[in-house]
Amino acid sequence: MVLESLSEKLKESLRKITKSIFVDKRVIEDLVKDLQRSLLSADVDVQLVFDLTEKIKQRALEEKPPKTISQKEFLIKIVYEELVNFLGKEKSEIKIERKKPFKIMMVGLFGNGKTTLAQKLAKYYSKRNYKVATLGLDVHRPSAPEQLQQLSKQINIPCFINPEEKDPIKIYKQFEKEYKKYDILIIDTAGRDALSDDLIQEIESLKKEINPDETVLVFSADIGQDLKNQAEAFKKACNITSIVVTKMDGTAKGGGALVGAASTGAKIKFLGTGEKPEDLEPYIPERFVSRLLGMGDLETLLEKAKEAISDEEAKDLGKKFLKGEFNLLDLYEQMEAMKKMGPISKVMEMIPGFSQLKLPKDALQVQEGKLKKWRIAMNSMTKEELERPDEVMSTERINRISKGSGIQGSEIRDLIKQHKTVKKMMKMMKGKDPSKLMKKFKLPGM
Amino acid sequence: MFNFLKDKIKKAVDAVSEKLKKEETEVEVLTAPKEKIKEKKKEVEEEIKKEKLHEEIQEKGFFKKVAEKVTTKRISEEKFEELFQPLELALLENNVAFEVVEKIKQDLKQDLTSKPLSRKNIEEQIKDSLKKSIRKILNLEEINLVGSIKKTSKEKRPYVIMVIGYNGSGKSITCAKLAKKLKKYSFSPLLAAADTYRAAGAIQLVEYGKMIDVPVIHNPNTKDSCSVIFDAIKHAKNKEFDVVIADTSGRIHNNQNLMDELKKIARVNNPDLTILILDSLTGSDIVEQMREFDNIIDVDGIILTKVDTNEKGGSMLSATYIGKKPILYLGIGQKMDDLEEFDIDKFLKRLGLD
Repeated sequence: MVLESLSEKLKESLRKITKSIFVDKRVIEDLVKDLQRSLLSADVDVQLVFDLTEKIKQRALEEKPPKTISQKEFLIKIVYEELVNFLGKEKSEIKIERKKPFKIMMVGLFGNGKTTLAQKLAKYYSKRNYKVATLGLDVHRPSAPEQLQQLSKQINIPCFINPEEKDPIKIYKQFEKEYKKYDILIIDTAGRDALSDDLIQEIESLKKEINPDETVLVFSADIGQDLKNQAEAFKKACNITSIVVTKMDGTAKGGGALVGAASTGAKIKFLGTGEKPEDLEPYIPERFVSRLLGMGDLETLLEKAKEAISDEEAKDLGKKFLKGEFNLLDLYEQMEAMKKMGPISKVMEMIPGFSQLKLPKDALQVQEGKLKKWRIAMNSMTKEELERPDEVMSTERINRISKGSGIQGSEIRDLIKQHKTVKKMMKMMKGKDPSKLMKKFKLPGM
Repeated sequence: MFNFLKDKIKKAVDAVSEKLKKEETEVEVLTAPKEKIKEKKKEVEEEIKKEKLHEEIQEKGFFKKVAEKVTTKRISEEKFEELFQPLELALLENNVAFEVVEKIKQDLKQDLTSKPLSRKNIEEQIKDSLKKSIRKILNLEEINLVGSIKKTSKEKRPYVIMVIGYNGSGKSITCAKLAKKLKKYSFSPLLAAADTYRAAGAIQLVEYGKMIDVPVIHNPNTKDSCSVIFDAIKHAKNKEFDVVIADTSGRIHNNQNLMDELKKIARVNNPDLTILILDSLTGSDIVEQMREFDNIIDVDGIILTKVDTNEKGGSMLSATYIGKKPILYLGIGQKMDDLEEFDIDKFLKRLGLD
């Protein structure tokens, strides 16, 4: 998903280094050239690219590697460090102050996903126990207020709009008394071209009237070299404090968006990764770079898993795993949890090692389709069948389940086979030190 | 629009020709035999002094030869690589995708290295080759939309236009602009609001419809885009509308399910014209968008949107080069009339390449 092509190219450049026998000036220069090419074709701003590669070149030529690591590893380390440096060192979050309401205002170009993001942010914060409301001030695009209203309704968040009124400031004032009831107010504004005076005046006056605590610049991952000018103009007009990059699930390399943003000074806070309300990830530069370099991203995965399965459930499941008791219900629970984590393809990419495995696209799609069918089939099973499938399952039962659920018998057999495999794996794990086992599977970082 | 690109191209061309001029004199000095260098030096001195006229006349025959050698110069291929670099960067900086830059490079290389260049107007010659190359990329068989609707006989009408594209590229507003444009040509258009996914997506098109006084078919009770378009076509047949413009949901081209849906829509409704909407602010990804959409269903033409916000203009080259599809119109603003016919000469002019 994210930055696939960019990281492909980077990986190739790095592979070249590992293949070469000596690290000399020529190797470094080749690497720098490759880096430039890959960053440029990923829409990174030209000036930034040259600054970055110059730094890498300088460090690589001047600094001596510590004794413990080889020169090649050192070179890769420099690239990694500079990239992290480049993308912002620390993870930064929007700090929500208790002030009733904390106002977050979205600004950005047309069609970059502001309204969708308003919904995602509302969901993100309401899940974290804030009382959230949305306010629709997009008075230019027809039906934009209705869109925000419908999106808010989907996630049970109150939404203030007035489709009749064409002056955003009046709309803001109209509901002013209501805002105090909420912790966070998320304000959607109209899309605008930062180089057009009228629209910029509007956002300036809005900014003055509302005085938002956080102004978020929203743009799409596929934006090209134009971003720099736009971002700078937005910054001038309304002092951007955060950045969110949307549509990271496309094929866009996103380099321009990320680095261009870093150059304007505001920090990237979130990445939009899909069309569902929960498709929002906090942005963490180090993770991002390791994903870029193909090192996998354990932390994100663990966090997602945490959100999906409560600790209690996790403990239970763990116990069952170790005892080797693992019935279809558990498999079902696991699948449910997986569903909460998002499509399998995304989850897989985050597991270290898997990102390099390059599973064919279709394989994952089939897998996902299967999961859906299995879940339907399970709904037609008796408790007995769910708990001890390997003992009680018979052709008659499978036929009955098939008729009940409309799922073909062969699919149900597949499910039972899958359960058997997982159970077998569990038994193998029984009594073994998990950390050793992980080593055996060669999963780095665990 | 495009001012940035224009500036950059000018600067780059200047830099290249500057380099080339310098290059030539140096090369000449190196390759000429020693005596000739002396002679030439003499010549220059004489020219500056302009005193020893008789000597100049005496050696004129020789001077002419030197001058010719200096003013016409064949660039070697390696030299070209070096010379092209500033132009390459300028193009990249302007959103021209890598593949396309390579293509332009190849064209220029062929043009500039195959025959000797005269020194006098190197700049012009480089500009000319660049223009030729860009023209080649953009010059595709045009689609005459108005003409092909006219050609469609009454029985075969409505002429169905399907509008597809990435999320937020500007499909809905473009549909409305297109409807308004066709109305001007005294066709009766009908809009089909088949964006059933986005919240309030259909209502948006209904609003646009009201603005331009064009009826819109929408069905809030279904999530099936395909049937909305089907109904619209049926309605258009009964009520004798000339054109149906179908707005579809935005989709990301690597989402298999959504692309399958698109395939189905195209199969069932069999549009006469499929237009891909591309956001001109898109960077290198425009190549993927163009390619994938065209892979799934045959795209006939492109409309580039948000061109008014776009200083760089390179996306246009990338999209047409990759897709080999003509650009029908440019979206140049938020008003209903802001849809401009695409014209290569105008585009080249904007780049300062006329």
